[in-house]
This record gives sequence, C-alpha cells and structure tokens, in this order.
Amino acid sequence: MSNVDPKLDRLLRSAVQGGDDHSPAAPFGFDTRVVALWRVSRIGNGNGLARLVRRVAFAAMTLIVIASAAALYEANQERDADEAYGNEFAIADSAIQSEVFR
Amino acid sequence: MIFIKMFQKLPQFSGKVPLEHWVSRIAVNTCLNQIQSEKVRPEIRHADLSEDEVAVIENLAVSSDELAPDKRFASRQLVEHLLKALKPAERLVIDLLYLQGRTVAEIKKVTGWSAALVKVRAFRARQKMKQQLERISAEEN
Repeated sequence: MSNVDPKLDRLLRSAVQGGDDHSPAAPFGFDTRVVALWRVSRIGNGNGLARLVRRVAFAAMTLIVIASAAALYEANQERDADEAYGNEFAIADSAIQSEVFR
Repeated sequence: MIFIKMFQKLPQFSGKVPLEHWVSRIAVNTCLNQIQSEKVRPEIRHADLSEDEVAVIENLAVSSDELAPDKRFASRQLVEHLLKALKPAERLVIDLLYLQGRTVAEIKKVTGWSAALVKVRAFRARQKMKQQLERISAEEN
C-alpha cells in the first residue's frame, strides 16, 4: 500500500469507511412498481403463477367437499345401524315380557 | 438482478412455454448482457459525476488532509465509478486489496494467481485509476 499515489490512497481509505456507513437501498419507487406489476398480472391472469394458485385452490375445495360428503355419509350409516339394533332389542324385550306373562 | 428482470417482464410471459424455461432464458440473457457490458468499459466523464463526487475530487486536489466523514459515501461512489473503467481482474484485485483489506497472500489463495501477478495487476489498476482521476481533474479545470 505504501507505493500508492497519496491522493488515491486517501480516496480509497475514505471509500472503505463509506462502504460501511451506507446500506444499499432500493431505487426510488421500486416497491411501488413491483406491486403495480403484480396487480396488473393478477388482473390479466396471464401468468403461470396465478394459474397454479387457482388450480391449488380448486383442488383444495374439491377435497373439502368430498371429505364433507364422506363424513355425512358415515354419520348417517351409524345412525341407521343404531336404529336397527334398537328395534331388535325392543322385539326381544316384548317377546320376553309376553313369555313371562304367559 | 435476474429476479428484478423477471418481475419487470412478467406481463410478457405468454404461458406457451413452461415458466422454468422462460426464467432460465432471462437468466442466460442477463449474464450475456453483463459480460458484454464488462467488455465495453466506458471512460468516466466529469458530467457523469454527482456534485459530492466532484467535491471529493476538488478536496483531493487542494488539500492533503483526510477526507471529511460526510464525504465518505461520495468517495465510495467515486471509487465505484473508477472501478467500472477497469478490467474485471484489476477491479477484483483493487476490491480485495484496498476495499476489503485482504493481504496479498489471501488474494493469492482466493484467486489462484501468483503473488507477483497480484502485485502487477494491483499496480496497473492503481495507475489507471490515478490517470482517470487526473483526467477528470483536468476536465474540471
């Protein structure tokens, strides 16, 4: 470093400290432009990302409907089974009572 | 830089090709453009510099004291301008040696160059930066 031109040496030393002081920032209006582009692309529905999100949402909805229908069906099956058992017990009970009274 | 370009070009994506192919095409084009711009290396003009950068050059010319703390960012910007006019290898050696404060031995290890080559490249880069500074100062006067 000793054979560096004095002016250049001072400039480089100051630049080293300047690099630590300043944190790089996005250019003016960058975030606004990115958000605007994203909105436009969302309205236009022209990109693969929006299509993918739509497909995933549709698949999730279908899955929810199927799962709900299956759960409802299962609940109905259990209720019928309970009712069937209830009738059998009533018949058996009445048969026993009639035998006892006879 | 590639992701920024992707965001900017998003409305141009037709959907006819897979998204991955489109992104990789943008990446390849961005890299090719960068290599092309590395080859050009335009000279710095006085008019390209900000007021603060010009003030730094004036300060360097008239005084031998250290630059004021408020001039640090401007001097960094000026050095960035000067580096742009160098070859990539020279830019790398200046960055490692002076801006990152690495030793010649460390640079030798990182780059795989010999110690003599590191010193020669640093010397040539310094000479070019010095000439650029002198040319800008002369332009100013």
